[in-house]
Parts: sequence; C-alpha cells; structure tokens
Amino acid sequence: MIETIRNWILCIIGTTIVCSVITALTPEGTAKRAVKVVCGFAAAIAMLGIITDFDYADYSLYLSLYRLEADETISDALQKSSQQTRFIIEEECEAYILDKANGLGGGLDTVSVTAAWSDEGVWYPARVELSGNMDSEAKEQLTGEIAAELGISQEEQIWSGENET
Amino acid sequence: MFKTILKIFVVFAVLLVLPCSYAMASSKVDEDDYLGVEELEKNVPESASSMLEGVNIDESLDAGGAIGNILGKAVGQIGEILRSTASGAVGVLAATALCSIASGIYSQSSKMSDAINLVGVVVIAVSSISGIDSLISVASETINETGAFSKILLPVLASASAITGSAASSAAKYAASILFIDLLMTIGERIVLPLIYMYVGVSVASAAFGGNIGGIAKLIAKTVKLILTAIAIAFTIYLTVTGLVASSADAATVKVTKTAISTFLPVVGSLISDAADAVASGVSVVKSAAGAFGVLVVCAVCAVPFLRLAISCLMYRAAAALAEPVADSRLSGLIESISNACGMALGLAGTSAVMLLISIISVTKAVTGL
Repeated sequence: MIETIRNWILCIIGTTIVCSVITALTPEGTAKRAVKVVCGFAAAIAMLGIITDFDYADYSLYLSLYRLEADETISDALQKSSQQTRFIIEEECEAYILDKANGLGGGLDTVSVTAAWSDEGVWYPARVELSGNMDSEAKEQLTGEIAAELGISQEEQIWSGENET
Repeated sequence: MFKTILKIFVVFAVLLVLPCSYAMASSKVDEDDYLGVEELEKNVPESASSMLEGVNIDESLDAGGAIGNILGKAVGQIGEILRSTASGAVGVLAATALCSIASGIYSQSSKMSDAINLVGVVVIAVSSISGIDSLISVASETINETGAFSKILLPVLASASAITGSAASSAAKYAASILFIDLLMTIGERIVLPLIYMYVGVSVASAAFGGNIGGIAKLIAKTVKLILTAIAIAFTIYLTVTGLVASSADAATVKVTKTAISTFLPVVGSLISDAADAVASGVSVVKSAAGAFGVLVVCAVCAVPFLRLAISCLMYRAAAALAEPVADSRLSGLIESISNACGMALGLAGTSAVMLLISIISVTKAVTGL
C-alpha cells in the first residue's frame, strides 16, 4: 500500500517536472497552448491514477493485521489480569476462612482455596483444602459457614489432619 | 514557515501539560509487572536516557521535576547549537555579500553577473549541503526513535486501559495509533525525506538557471505540507471516531458485569468485586505513571532535535532576510529555501511527536472503571 502511495506521489511530481520542461522548451503561440492543454490532461490523469491503481484488498488486509495485533495484545493482558484477580480472590477467601476458624476456637493450620471460572465470566471459590486440629463441632460449623457464605459445597471441602472426615 | 514552527511548539506545550497534570496525582504501581513496565524502562531511546537519569515508573516519579530537568538540559545545549548553525548561516551570508560586491563591480556585463550569481549558488549549496544533510538525519532519527518507542509504550498503555474497563476502545485506539505511526514513519522515510532533498536540489537548480523550475520547488514544498497535514488530520479523525464507537461498547460491558456480580453472587460478590477493584485500581495507577513516563520520553527524545531544527530554520531565515536587500533575489531565495527545508524536516519530526502524544493521551483516557 505504501509503495502504491509512493509511486503515485512520485508520478505526480515527475509528470509536473516533465510538463514544465516541455512547456518551457515549446515556442510561444498555438503550439504552446496545445502543449499546456495536453500537460493539464497528463497531470489530471496522474492525480486520478490512485483511484484505479489502489489495491483495496491489500488496504483491508493492512488494516486487519494491525487490528489483529492489537486484539492479541489486549487479550493477553486481560488473561493475565484475570489470573491476578483469581489469585486475589483465592487469598481473600483463605483469609476469610482462617478468620472464621479463629472465631470458632482456632485449630485450623492451613487453607488452600481453588477458584474456578463461572458462566457469568467471573472467578468464584470452587474448592478448598483444609488441614488442622479442630474439634468436630467447630469443624461442622465451619463447614456449614463455608458452604453458606462462600458457596463451596461440602463435597468440595477436603479436610486432612488428625480428625479427617 | 515561522508560523508553522510556532504552531508546533504551542501544540506541543499544551499536550505536554495535559497528561502530566493528570499523572502527577499518584505514581504508585502494582508489584506484579505483567504489563511490561520494566521492558518500557529498559527500552528508553539512547538520546533520551541521559535526560531521564533517575526517572523510573514508580512512586518517586516526579513528572514536573523531570520536565524541568529535560528543558534545562536542552536549553544548556543551545549555545553549542547556535555556534554550529551560526557558522553555516554566516558562511552563506558572507558568500552572498561577496557575490553582491562582485556583481556591483561587473554590473555592466550581464554575462558576468550571471556567472557570479552561478558561483554564489554553487558556494551556498556546497557550504550548506552537509548541514542540511545532518539536520534531515536528525529528523529521521527522531521519527525512528519515537516510532520504535511507541511500539513498546502503546501496548503497555492499551493493556492497562483494557484491564480498567476499556477493552474495546483501547484495542481500537492502539490499532489506529500503531497504524498511523507506522504509516508516518514509512511515508516519512520513503517519500517526505526524499522530497525534501529534491526540494533543495530543485531550489539550487532554480537559483542557478532561473526559469519555471522555482514553481516545481513550490509544488514539492506544498506536497510535503499536504502529506503531513493529511496524515495528522486523518489520524485525529480516525482515532476520535474509533474511540467514540468502541467506548459505547465498553460502557455497556462494564454495566452488565457489575449487575451480574451483585445479583448472582450476593455474599461472595463483595470479595470478587473487591478483587476486581484492587486489580483495576493498581493497573490504573500503572497506566497513569506509564503515560506520564511516555510523555517524558517523547519530550526528552525531541527536545534537542527540535531546538536544532528550529534554530537552523531561524538562522537561515535571518540570513535570507539580511541578504535580500543587497544580493540577487535568486541567492536570497536559495537561502530561504534552505530555511524551508529545515522547516519541513522540523514539521515531519513534530508531526511524529504530536501523533505519539495524542495517542498516549487517547489510550490512557479512562472511559469507566470497575
């Protein structure tokens, strides 16, 4: 596309230079007037040549390539941002569960939350692995609160440790 | 041409203030540099790195101080620039004066006057050609440096804008910016710079032989001006229209996402919303800091070249004005043509810088946030 534009501009300038030289060399009179008319047509044809020579398919492809590059860059950034959001959600949920466990008398050593991608297009806590020495009543209460407040079902709560269920 | 230079400086100064006043509010950045900010800092053009010593994209970024530093260092080089350009202009003026004296002595012989004029043209052309070549190289280097830096800066800004809720508009603006900057670089290297050389050559021929050749030089000058104006206008319109069309889609997307979070996930929704806000606010700060840094780099890259081109243009214009009353009109016209060639090179470099600044402002401008 650039080559086409470049050739078009050089064609206009070249035509003008040649016409100027020919006009300067032509003696005054009818001949000069005729030469000027012909040069005018030549200059007009040179200027309008871009309309017929321009490759619209190439122009479209040229634009599409830039758009593709932009979309790939944005898509990559959004993916990384999504991962960042996922990490924050998992950390927040882990902190929330530990806080709840401390409120029930403690005994919870480690928590690991795994987020999943929902149909609505957001990350949500889907699974949790817990380990510690909580008594059964506290564990049952904590399990219930995790299911009710974080939406993680009992089946997806994996306990490990001495009092494993 | 002087009015054109003045216009470029006014636009540049206005664009300089806008993003930096926006960016100076906060400079804290996210710890996880997945946007490529470190890459941005490492790829600052060489000509700008000395002016940006100690400037990083972090909480210590002081845009106002950095601009002052850049201007101070650029102004500090004015003396050297004046010395180098003044020698060329004075040489040209001296040649013109000598030709004028010789023409006065041999005024009765028109053939002798023409021969003296021809010698004057040759002397002016030979003495100024290396200067013109170096100035055009300066303009070419400036365009290449701004173009290369834009390819690293704009993805960072576009990515940050996309994450803060402007995915559609930032992709559209990024594509438009890169397209037109590439177009300007290619057209600049392959069409405009050769046309500037052609302009100088035709001006020399016109001064030497007279005739209608001067009209061709005017045509070339107008063509260069038209090309730069057309690219700048097309770029501004294209960027504005694509931004407007795409930003409406962004606003709708953000609204839908907020509704889904609050309706379907009432309890954990606050956690998810807080996480999204944390990412968006961190990235927003990175975006403004990177945008301010980008503006500083453009200023640092362009400061000295612009001064050099503008001073050269003014020096040769002054020489033409001083030569006009005493010398043949073709000699003073040739000196003015050299000044115009410097002005065209400045226009090309200025268009590149202004386009990049407009891109930075456009891409960093937030539509809505999460």
